Amino acid sequence: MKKVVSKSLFYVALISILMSVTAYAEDKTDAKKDAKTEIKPELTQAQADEIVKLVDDRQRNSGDYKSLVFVKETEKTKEPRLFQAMVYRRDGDDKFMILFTKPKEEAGKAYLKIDKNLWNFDPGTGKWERRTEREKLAGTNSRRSDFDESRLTEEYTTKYEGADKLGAYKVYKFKLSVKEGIDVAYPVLNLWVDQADKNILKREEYALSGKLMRSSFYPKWNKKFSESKKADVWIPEEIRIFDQLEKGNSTIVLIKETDLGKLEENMFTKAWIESKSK
Amino acid sequence: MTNLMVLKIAARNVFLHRMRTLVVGAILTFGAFLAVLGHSFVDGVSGGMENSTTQSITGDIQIYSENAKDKLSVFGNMDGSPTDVGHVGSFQTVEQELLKNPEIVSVVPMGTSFAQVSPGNILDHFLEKIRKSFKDPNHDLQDIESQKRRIRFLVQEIKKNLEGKFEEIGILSATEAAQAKVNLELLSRDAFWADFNDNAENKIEFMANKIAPLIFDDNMIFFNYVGTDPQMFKERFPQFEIVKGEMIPPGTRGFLFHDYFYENMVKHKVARRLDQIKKKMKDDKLTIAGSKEVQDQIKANVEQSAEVYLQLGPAETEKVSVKLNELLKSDEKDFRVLLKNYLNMADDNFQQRYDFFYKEIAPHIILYRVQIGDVLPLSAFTKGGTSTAVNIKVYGTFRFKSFENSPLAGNFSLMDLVSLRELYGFMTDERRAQNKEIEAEMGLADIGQDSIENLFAGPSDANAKPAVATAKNADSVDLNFKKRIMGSSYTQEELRNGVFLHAAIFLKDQSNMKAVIEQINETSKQNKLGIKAVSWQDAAGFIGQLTFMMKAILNIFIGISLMLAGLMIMNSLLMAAMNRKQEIGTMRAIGAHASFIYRLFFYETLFISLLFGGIGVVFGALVVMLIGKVGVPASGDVATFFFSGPRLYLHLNPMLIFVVIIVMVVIAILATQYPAWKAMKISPLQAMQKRE
Repeated sequence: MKKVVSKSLFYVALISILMSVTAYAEDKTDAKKDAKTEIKPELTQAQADEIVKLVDDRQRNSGDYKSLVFVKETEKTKEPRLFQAMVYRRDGDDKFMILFTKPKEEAGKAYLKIDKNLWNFDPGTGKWERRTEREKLAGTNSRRSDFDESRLTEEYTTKYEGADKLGAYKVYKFKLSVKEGIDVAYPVLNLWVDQADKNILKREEYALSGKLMRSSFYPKWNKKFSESKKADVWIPEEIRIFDQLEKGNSTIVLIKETDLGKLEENMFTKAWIESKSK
Repeated sequence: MTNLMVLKIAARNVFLHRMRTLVVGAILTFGAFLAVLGHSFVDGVSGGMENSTTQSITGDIQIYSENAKDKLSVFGNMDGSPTDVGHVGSFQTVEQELLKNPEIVSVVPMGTSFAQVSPGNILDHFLEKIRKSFKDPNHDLQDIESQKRRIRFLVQEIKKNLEGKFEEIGILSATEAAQAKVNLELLSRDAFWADFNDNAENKIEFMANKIAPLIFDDNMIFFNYVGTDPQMFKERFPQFEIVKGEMIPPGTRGFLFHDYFYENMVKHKVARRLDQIKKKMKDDKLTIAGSKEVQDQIKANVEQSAEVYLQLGPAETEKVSVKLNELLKSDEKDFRVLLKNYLNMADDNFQQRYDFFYKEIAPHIILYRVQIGDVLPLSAFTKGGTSTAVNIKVYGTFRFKSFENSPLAGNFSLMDLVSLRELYGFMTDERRAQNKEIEAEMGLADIGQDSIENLFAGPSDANAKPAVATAKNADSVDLNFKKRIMGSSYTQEELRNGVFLHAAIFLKDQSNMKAVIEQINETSKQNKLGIKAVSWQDAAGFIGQLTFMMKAILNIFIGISLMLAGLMIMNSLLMAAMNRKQEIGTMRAIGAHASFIYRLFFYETLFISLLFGGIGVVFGALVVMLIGKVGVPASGDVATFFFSGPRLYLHLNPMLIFVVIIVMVVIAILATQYPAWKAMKISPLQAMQKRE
């Protein structure tokens, strides 16, 4: 059992990815400040902390969010599986929803997260399953942090590891180690942050043993102005995740279309999701 | 000299040294007794296990993919994880080829894995029920009111339960605990319920999200299952029988719980403990007063009395309260105290209270978390970790006759192979085609990690900011889905044409197993079937190796005792040779050949070995025959599996007696060699010198 559940759980991973990296709001005033005080490759600890805090701050999006997402899950020796889904967030109320739209077998299935409840709906039976945080994570290597917004500054201490290059991009490389007494899925992270835009371009996640578990790459970013934030929001268009435990397994997440306008008031409800399957 | 004379002298020597003979004889008797009884017992257990295993899951031989990552172990690994054996392309092709072998009677396709069902807690249950009622346009208002009262009562019970214990829930932070108190307070006010019907959907969701998680919830049911052709499975495993409900109809998707699992894992906790206590008292003759194990179960029932009172509505509570006070001859007003008093059972009132439970309480509680006839959304993780779910109807429960209480035989529930394939995540042609469409929409090429940095080639000027596009609006997807009705049937062709994970093969004659395994492997090579065959012992993994281990340990014990006996015989013969130097020398002087001396010693040893070995064999055989009649009771559920029934009946194998006698002769021969050689070296001269 352990063996199976310790593998990347698709939905868990998907929710985790979509909840933590979908929106990087860039405050215009911050951008101006950055432009004035251009950070040089040699960073003080304070500057390093400030950059990671910026990454965190940009992920806190109080407004509504909607996107069309494609996921391709590739496993070694197996045929890839593809999904299309709509992802909805209302960060102010900590609500989150995935509504699968393709393929046909998955269409109408949904995950609805309200507080600590993760509801799972299957239109085939019309039944809802409530999974408490405890249950949902039982036996998996996922933690609560996977489902929350980015708390890098709260949970990790940052160590600047120097300037680096990722392809043509100049990046800052940070090593983040978990703070004492905090329970996270991956105690050590390596982040490659674009020097120019402060977007994460690469992220490596390590287990306590020091073993590299997962490498993620964020080659494309999109920008969208949010009325509620009065600021630009940065959205990774493409995320490529490589499973380092099971070499050859990878996931591509494509966030193709995004809308930051206000969503219907009653959207994050069972009734709304049920109404989509007739 | 004749052999008869040698025998007489040997017998005289045996009786002359009675003490020595008795000590050696006792050890030989014990060795022979142990060999007969021990081997009969191990053979009995081995046969029982073989029956339990081959008749519940493995068949005589199992086949699986020759490219499997792990070795097949149908019971999983030692840590409970399933083995990764991949899959084999087409069952029909494999079956057709294998059935050409006249030794093979049938091939039953299978796949074993695990899945889970999450029925939710008691509040989830009632909230879903009332939600459904509100959705029904012809809903009965009186029924709704009754359900509301039921829920309100339950919420009050939850509030009472948590009073002063919020911190103990563990998962709540101080802020969350404070909020939970406020929410519970809100629900205890009439205002919340006054406009319930006008705003039912929101109120129900509020309770589902804010109150239901406050109930300690361990309702997730995990279980192993075997996906197969249910009709074929029933036919090929003759001990299979339906206990509750009905058999999955032919060509229909469906699920059967193993009755042992259903009774021990799906049943209401308090009820199942009462059943277990009753069984222990009846079968194992345990008493509550005398068994700590039973006392612990009584204690657990008292501590978990909430499992009962949270499920009873206000009217039921009142009704049960009156009956309980009558039963206990008390006048307790607090139902919780009353229930605890009732559940605190003793030997003299257990049966009466047990009967009361099923008559007065069980009809008002959810006795089984999954009901026969329910359609389950059953979810599982595919090989790659992807979560999938199928909706499947529970038709009933089954068991295997004679080892119905075996947890190992009860390890697997059963479903049809078509549903298993879906749960396991095999791709259908339709899904494959849709995959292509989605892939085209995505428009992204696969890039290996080695060349991933090409994605960061970026603009030619490395200092330039990456070009950032404005995200497209997300409004182009049609969100009106047609409810996918899960196919409830399948054709035989569909079942046989698809993949399988492993399969059970039944033989005409099980003694040909080894030869058939070789033949199957050869057929696979010739016809590129991609399969390999293993015996049922190998397929049973660590369980299959248990008999081998038991036999090895037993033989070590027997070997040690016989070796000890051999050494003692040798030592005593050596002493005898030294003591009888004069006698032997004289014999040599009057013309006895060295071979005579050798025979003298050999017959002496043979006499002891056969006499005492024989006593041991006879004694062992008598005990085996006695156990063959009365049987050894299986003291627990695990023993039931090993005994393949409630008692183990031993059978005497005549071959075993023959082997033990041969072993005795071999010991005699071996133990004689050195002392006889020493004796043969004694010359008449030595005897005479000694005398002088």
